[in-house]
Amino acid sequence: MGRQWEMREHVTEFMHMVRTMLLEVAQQRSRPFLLAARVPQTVEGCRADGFDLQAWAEQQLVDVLTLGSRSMDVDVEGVRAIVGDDVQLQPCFDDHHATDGYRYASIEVLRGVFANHFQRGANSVVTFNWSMVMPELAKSVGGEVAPLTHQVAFQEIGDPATMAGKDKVFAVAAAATECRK
Amino acid sequence: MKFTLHISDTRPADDKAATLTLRIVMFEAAAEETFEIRFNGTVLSVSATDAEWKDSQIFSPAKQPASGGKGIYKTHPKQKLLRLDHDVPLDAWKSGPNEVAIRVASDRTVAQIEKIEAHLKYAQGEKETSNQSGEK
Repeated sequence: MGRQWEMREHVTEFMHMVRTMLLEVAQQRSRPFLLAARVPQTVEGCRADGFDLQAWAEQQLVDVLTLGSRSMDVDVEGVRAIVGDDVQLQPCFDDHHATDGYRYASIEVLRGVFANHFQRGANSVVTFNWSMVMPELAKSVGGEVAPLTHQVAFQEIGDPATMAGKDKVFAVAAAATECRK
Repeated sequence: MKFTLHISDTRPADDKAATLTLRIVMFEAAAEETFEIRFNGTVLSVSATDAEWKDSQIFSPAKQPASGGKGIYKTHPKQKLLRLDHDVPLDAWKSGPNEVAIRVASDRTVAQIEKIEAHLKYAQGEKETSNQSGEK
């Protein structure tokens, strides 16, 4: 533990192995087989986990990076500066293990989260642990009934244009802290 | 204490098109206490105060529970939160990162900030489609 960055070449080698395998499969089926990796939402987080994003980008080992999960605040600019424009960046928002204080957030909060991702340079966005079915179906199979805001959000959050001119709430993630005199 | 608040939208040409309100929620603060709030250096005035504010996803003084679970949150009846709203002048905010600075200006030495939000409302905005967090 604590030596992840020191041992980063092993993760890079793993990525190289997966990339090589996918390139072989792509050649066999005569169409691309892209590789996406899910990584922390900050450059510092990736470093702490031993993910050398710069090496991955320089060696063209990955096509898409899914950034983060719990936090609304994703450092798209920081990761972009490391990997350049050839890697697609897609911030992720988990609404089960959500940002503290914002589970099942209002549509205005969700617009703020995803519009910020695009403004900061995301190519696309990802939802995780969101309701994918109508409440009646969820109930019938004993599943969790998520708020209707998810259904509204799915019609808006995929493109900045569908959120333009609509009310939004922008929040500081994990603001809970002590403020001194 | 300084915080970075990202705002995706471009500032409108005039404040009739949209308004921005900075909302700060504090734990166990009293309405008569004063705080100096700056938005990109501009000192803001309080436009609304609610000393009875409730939020089912703020758990102070208890610890924040582990994430996940059923997603059913109940407000503690004795929860004591202070909500302070501030109108943000049009020329004080910008698209991208904005700096929110909060300083205790009254006798107390420490305040606990629970939430910091900027509410952007368009003049032509639609009606809100849901309640705030925690309610289905």
